[in-house]
Amino acid sequence: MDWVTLIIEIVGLVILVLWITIPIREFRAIRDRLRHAPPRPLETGAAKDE
Amino acid sequence: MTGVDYAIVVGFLACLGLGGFGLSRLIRDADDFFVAGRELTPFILCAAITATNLSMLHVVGMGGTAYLHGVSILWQNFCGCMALVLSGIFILPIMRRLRIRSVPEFLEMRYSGPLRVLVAGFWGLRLSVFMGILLYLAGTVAVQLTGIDYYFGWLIVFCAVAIGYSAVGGAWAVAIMDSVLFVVTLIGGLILLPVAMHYAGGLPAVWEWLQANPQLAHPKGLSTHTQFVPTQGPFNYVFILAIMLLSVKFATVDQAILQRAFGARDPRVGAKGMVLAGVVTVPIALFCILPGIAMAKLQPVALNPELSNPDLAVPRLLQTYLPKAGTGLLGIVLCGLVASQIDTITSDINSVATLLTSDVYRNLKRTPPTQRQLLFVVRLASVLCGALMLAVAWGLQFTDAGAVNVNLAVVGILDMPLFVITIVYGLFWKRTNWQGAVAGFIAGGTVGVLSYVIMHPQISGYAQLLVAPVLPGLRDRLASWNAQLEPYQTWLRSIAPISSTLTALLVTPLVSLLTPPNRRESTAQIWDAYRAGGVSRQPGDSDTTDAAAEAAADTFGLVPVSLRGRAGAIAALGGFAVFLAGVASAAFNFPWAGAMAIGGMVAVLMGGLVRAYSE
Repeated sequence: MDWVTLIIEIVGLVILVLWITIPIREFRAIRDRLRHAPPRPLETGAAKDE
Repeated sequence: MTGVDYAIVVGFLACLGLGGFGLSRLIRDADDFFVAGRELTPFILCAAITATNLSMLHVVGMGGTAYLHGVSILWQNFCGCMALVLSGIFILPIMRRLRIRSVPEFLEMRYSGPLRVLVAGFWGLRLSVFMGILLYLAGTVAVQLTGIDYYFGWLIVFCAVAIGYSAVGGAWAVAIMDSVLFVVTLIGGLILLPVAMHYAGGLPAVWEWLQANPQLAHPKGLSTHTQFVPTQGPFNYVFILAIMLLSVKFATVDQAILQRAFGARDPRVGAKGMVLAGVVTVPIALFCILPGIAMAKLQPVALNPELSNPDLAVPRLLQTYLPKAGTGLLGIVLCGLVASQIDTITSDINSVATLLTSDVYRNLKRTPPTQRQLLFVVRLASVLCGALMLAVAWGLQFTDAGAVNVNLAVVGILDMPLFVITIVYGLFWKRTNWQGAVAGFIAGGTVGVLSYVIMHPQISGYAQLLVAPVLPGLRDRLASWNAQLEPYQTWLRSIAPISSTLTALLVTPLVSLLTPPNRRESTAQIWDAYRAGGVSRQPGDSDTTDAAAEAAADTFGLVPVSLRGRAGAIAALGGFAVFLAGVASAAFNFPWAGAMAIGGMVAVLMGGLVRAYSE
C-alpha cells in the first residue's frame, strides 16, 4: 500500500474506533437520564403568536 | 456476487428493519419523533449529520464523476465541510436557541404563517425528489451487481426497509441507527480504497499515469483529473464557487441536516456536532472519490466507452476487483453502500414527515391535534413520501444524465432563494417583510428554472415543443438563445444557482422597501437568540421548565468571549477568505490556487474546532 493511501486508512481507522466507543457511552448516558426523567406534559398545538 | 455476499447483505437488511421496530418504544410524543427529545450529544449528532449527508450519490455518483472529470469534484464535499463548520459556530446556535423543529417554523416566526406552509410543501417535495435520485442510484447499482434485472423490485425492497424503520421509529431510530450505519459505511470505505489502489498500483502511480495519459482518461482528451482547482472543464473554479454557495445553503437551511442539529441538547452541543461533522467528512470524502480516480487508470473511459455514463464506473470497480481481493468483501462494501443510502433516505423521510405534519397539517387544522393524531399523520406522511420517491426513481431510469447532474440541477434552481430569504435577509436585515420574502423566493426560483429552459439543450427542446402550438415566436426565440449560449452550456450548473441567488438578493429588499415594514411580535425572539441564553421559551411551548434550564446553562454567544474562542472564529473566517481567494485566482491560472484553497479549508476546520470547544 502506498503512503498516501496508508495515511488515509489510518485516519479512517481512528475515526472508526472513536465513533464506535464514544456514541455507545453517550447513548448509555441518555438512556439513564431518560429512565429517571419525569413524564413530559402533552403539547397543545402549533406555535402561533398572532 | 457469491452466496456469502448475498447472505451478508440480506442479514444486514433484516437487522436494519428489526432495529427500527425495536427503537419505536422510545417514541413517547411528537417531539421524540421530530427531534429525538432534544437529547443528542456531539458525537451522536456528528454521526447522524455525516450519515445523513453521505449516500451512494457520493460513492457511486461523485466517485463516477471523479472517474470522468477528476479530483475537483471533491469540492462538492469539502465546501460542505466548511459550510457545516461556519454554520455550526455562527448560524445553528441562533436557530437551536429558538427551539424550533424545522426551517419553515422559523419562517413563520420571522415572516408569516402562509409562507411557512408554502416553503414546507415545497421542501417536502424537493426532498422527495432528492430521495428518488438516491433510490434510482441504489436500484441501478443493485441491478448491475446482482445481475437480477428487476429494477422496480429493487426499488420496492430499499423503499420498504427505509420507510419501515423511519415511519415506526422516528428521529430516535434515525439518530441511533445513523450512528451504526455511519460505522458500517466507514468500514465499506476502509475496504474499497486500498483494494482499488492495490490493483491500480498505488495513488502516486495513478497520479503520474493520469498526467501522462489525458487522452485516455477523458472521452475528449480534456483531462483535468489531477487539478484541484481547474481553470477549464465542467468542474472548474466557477463550479467550485457555485457549489460553495449551495453548500452554505445546505448547512444553514437544509431541513434534513438541521433537524438532526435541532435535536442537540443545547446550542453549544449543536455547534460541536456540526463542526465535528465537517471535520470528519473530509477524510471520508477521500474514501468516496479516490476509488473513482483509481478506476480512471484501471479501465480508462477511452477504452471503455460504455463507462461514459459516470454512474456505472464504481459499480464496475466493485464487481470486477472486490471478489478478486477476497470472499465476502463485496458483501461488506455493499452493506456500507446500502447503509449510506438508507440512512440518508430515512433521515429525509423523517424530515419530510416533520414538515408535512408540524408545518402543514398543524397549521391547516383548526383545532389543536392530539399526540395520537400527530403520530398517525407523521407516519402517514412517511408512507406518502415513500410513494413519491418511488415514482421519481422509476422515471429517472429513462435518463442518462447522471445522478450528480440531476441533483445539481434540482438544488441549483430553488434552494438558493430559500437561503437568501431565510438566512441573508431573515437573520441579518430586520426591514425584510413577508411580501419581500415571497417575491424573492418566487423570482429567484423562476430565474433558476429559466436558466435551464434557455441554456440546457434537452430542457430547452421540451420547452420549445410545449410553447410551439401557442407561441411560435417564443419557440424561435428559445431556439436562438439556446444556440447562442451553447459555448457556455458546461457552466450551466454554476450559472443557475448564481443567477437565482442574485435575483433573490435584489428582489427581496426592493419589494420589502415598497411594502409596509414587518411588525410581527415573534421576530423579537429571533434578535434575542443572537446572545447566549437569549430565549427561554417560545409561544405554544409547553415544556417551559426545560427551556428555562437550557437558557440558564447556555453560554455559546455569536461573538466568543474567551481569547481562544475569538482566535478560533477569526481563523475560521480568515481561512474562508483565503479559500475564496485561492479558488478565484484559478481564473488567472495562478499556480498555487489549489494549495491556497486547501490551506484555507484546513484553517476553517481547525478554527471551527477551537471555537466550538472553547468555553
